[in-house]
Amino acid sequence: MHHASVRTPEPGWLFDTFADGVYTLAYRIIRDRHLAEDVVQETFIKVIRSLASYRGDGPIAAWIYRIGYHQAIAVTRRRREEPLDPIVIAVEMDRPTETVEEQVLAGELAARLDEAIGSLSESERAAFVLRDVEGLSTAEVAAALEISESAVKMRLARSRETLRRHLKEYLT
Amino acid sequence: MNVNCDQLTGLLPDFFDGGLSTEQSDAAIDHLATCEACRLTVDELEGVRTLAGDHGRLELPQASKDRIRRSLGLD
Repeated sequence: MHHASVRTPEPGWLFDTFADGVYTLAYRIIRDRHLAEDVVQETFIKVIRSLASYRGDGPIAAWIYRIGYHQAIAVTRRRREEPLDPIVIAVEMDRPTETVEEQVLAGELAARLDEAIGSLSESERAAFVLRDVEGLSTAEVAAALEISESAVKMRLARSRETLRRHLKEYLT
Repeated sequence: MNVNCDQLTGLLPDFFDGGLSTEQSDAAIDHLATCEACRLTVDELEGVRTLAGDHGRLELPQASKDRIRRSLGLD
């Protein structure tokens, strides 16, 4: 998905457009759904507070994800030792148009993907989620993570290679 | 320009994310046309991206969305 740059974004629209993406990024980094929800809340408090100073001079997606990423990383630093509350992925699948067999396979795939993404380093996870899950451009990912585009490409290459090895049976 | 398997691996980040010159892109495509092992690797890497796009996204539960929206004064 590509999020267009908007000059005067409305807070409700920003929340509706980016809440799931920030939640996905936060959950993939922290692997705890309640803490990921807290990150969404904290992120949008900051976004709404700073909206007046946002000049529309860069991609808004990168700006929001940068705030979300910093929040998520801060949480992992604080909560490193505490037990996690991961999402039961299969239970959250809601695809009424699929057959039971398709739903089971989709649930299994999602669970294996969750496990595989969890095996990446934090910095790889962030780059991979923003690029290959959320669909940001390489330049937007670089802006969100405040690293160079070549560093983004390196992290993506490592992430995809790790996931290729973990998910081989689902790929051919 | 010709590339071997190792050189192709080095080109893959730019192959997927932009940045190959026309010459590099042609060389990558030529190599893939003749090397089954690299073709399989590239297909699997494409598969990873498709899988991530189709199954990697999570939805914030509606009740949480409503709660956060209220706390932000958006309703």
